[in-house]
Amino acid sequence: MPEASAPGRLAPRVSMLTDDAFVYVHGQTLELLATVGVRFASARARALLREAGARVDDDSMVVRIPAELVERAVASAPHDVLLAARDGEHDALLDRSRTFVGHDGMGAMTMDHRTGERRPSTDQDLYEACVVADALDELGFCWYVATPNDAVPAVQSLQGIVTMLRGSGKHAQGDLSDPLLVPYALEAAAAASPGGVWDPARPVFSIVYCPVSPLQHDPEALDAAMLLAEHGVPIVVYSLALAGATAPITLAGTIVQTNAEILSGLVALQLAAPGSPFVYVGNSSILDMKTSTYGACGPEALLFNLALTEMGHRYGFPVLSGGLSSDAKELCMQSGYEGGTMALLSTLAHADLFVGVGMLDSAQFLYLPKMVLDAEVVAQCAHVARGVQLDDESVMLEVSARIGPGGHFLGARETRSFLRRGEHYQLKVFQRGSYEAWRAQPVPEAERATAVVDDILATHRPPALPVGAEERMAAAVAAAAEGRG
Amino acid sequence: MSDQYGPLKQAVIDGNADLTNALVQAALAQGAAAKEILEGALLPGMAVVGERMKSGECFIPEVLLSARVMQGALDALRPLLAEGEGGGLGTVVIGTVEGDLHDIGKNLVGMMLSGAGFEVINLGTGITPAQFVAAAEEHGATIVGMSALLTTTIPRMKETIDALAAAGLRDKVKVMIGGAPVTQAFADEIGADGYGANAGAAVDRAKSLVK
Ligand code: B12
Repeated sequence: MPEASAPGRLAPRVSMLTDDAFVYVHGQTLELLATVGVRFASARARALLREAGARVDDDSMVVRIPAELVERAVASAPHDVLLAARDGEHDALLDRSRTFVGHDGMGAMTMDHRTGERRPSTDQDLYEACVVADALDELGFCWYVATPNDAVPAVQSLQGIVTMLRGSGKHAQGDLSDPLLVPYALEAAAAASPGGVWDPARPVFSIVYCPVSPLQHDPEALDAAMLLAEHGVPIVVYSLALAGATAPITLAGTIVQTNAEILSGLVALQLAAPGSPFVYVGNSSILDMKTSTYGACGPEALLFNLALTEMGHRYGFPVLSGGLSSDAKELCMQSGYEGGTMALLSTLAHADLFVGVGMLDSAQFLYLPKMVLDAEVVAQCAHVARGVQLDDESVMLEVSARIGPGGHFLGARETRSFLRRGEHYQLKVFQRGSYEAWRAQPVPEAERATAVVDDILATHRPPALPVGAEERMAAAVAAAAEGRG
Repeated sequence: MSDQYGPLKQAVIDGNADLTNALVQAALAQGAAAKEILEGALLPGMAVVGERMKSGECFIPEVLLSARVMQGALDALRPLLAEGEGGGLGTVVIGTVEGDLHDIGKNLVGMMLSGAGFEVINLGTGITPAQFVAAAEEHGATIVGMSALLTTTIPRMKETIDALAAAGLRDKVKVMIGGAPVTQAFADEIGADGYGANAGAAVDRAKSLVK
């Protein structure tokens, strides 16, 4: 055998899209967009599309988008997107080199870890989920994980952004589907930004925008997204097609439709704000055909996310993928499997972002202790993604020679030094050890996680906001409530 | 009687429109009363399908197909049915509340209710309290069904109940609500008569409300 040089780092990577498959899916997508078209209920979007050369039918509001327009939009969106952190330390630069992890969203309910009661979420729940995210190194950004039901309904999403910015120094990714709220959101974000001014080069918040499957765009939400894009707010286009109900029953059909929905949103956004930051999301799912409810997880969702993550990357976009979500109603094998496999695959597909931390029941309720357990899963996924360092020093032939057959490695200097350098992953809340030791003091997993949550909430304080920011943000929410009231 | 209609009942269960329509015509030609065909074959057929859905034996699209087939047959029978015999369970006016455009669940519930023998008026999405009231009045609704999936739009349900009361309709209609974040506790809190966690439960509850 020829002498091989050390390959360096071996990092696992999952992939399912061949060159041919990419070209085929893209081609089918272009055909869908050009022939069936997409309904844009926003007059502004239709005007932009018409001007750019699309075929617009004003009665049905359906726009048939020619391939050339799609290609132009793909070319004009930036490849690297910065999700800035207001603390300046936790910036998430989406450049395919790292995977950042966020909460799930948007929980109407919270399972109160203090009482065990499942009840409507409050602003305080969202705040606490952000404080915990701020404290956990495994989380790179915050999502709108719980909706503040105690806020005025018309400004709930704005209140959400404010609370996320208060609760954590990390980037806040929220929801804003009302164009009238845009100036207030920008004012609140400016207040939280260093120096108290909005800096489009360092957006401290971004917005998730959902097309309405099949093949439609809501006028208000899209108008809001276009306005925000003009101000440099990154827009995360998240199509949520449910195979069999709002998309073809087949995985292939749903993949193509989802891609078409995302790209049609991109076209409108790039026409409104050329070069504006955009994130592609491949988290489609199914309608469960036996219970007639939404099924967020399972084999189909895994395949959708894998295929679409690669589609997004091939186009050159940053991608947000599914993660630690589960359809289970409790912490159990199902929740661990569904969340863990998706998290690992999203990590190994090198998604720029993935979400799902802290929720159960198909993203219906928040349970803070799950954040701690999810963080452990994220840390393990990252360790797998780091892979194996393969070189002469790591193979340690010299040490083996020193120790020889029959010895042991526990006393070797290298053992200590590699351990200190993190060669082995160290468990945090998961457990090893002898059965007897565990039996003597069997503290259930959820209790151990709850203790960590309680400790964080008692001791951790998010980084301070600029002076006067709290007041400015509260004033923005109050003014919006008055304006929308 | 049920044996006589066995093949027709089976045709509904199988979702075979052509066979169902042919057997309905044959039964009529032999002098059967429309009411008898409906109650002896079509509704029992749908009841079997409903049971199979609950036990997980069949898929929702199969249930919907049977419901459509039964609706088609009912359309042929309707002119022959006396007043009050039209399936008999009453009229449901259903819609998604204002500000909310989630409509898959609402559509499913509507289709299943019509399969169970209700007359269903689907108002669509973004329905205001005033529109629910007007539709309930116009169609002489037995049940008003509201769907909401957003915490920001759920308050519209209580407002609609209040509007029905203000219009003097609250005693005449039953109110049913649903949507992923809606709970029985919430239904109780706002004074709705019924709640359905999924399409099957919605049908059961609707039937029990009109008994
Ligand atoms: C698909 C979906 C969408 C689609 C809707 C497409 C469509 N044509 O309906 C799109 C992508 C457009 C969408 C948009 C949004 N969505 Co959405 N969506 C969902 C999702 C994933 C599934 C809903 C669904 O269709 N389920 C399948 C159907 C069959 O189930 P169902 O609706 O629950 O209905 C069953 C029962 O509830 C019951 N039922 C329903 N109605 C009725 C009525 C009566 C009378 C009865 C008796 C029973 C009953 O029977 C049904 C059949 O079994 C849910 C997640 C979830 N867990 O539910 C989020 C969810 C509802 N959406 C959510 C959000 C936040 C949004 C957006 C704001 C997102 C955004 N940033 O833009 C927008 C809002 C748009 C708007 N103005 O309404 C949140 C709501 C959170 C909250 N706290 O309020 C959810 C819970 C997701 C999440 N966890 O974040 N969404």
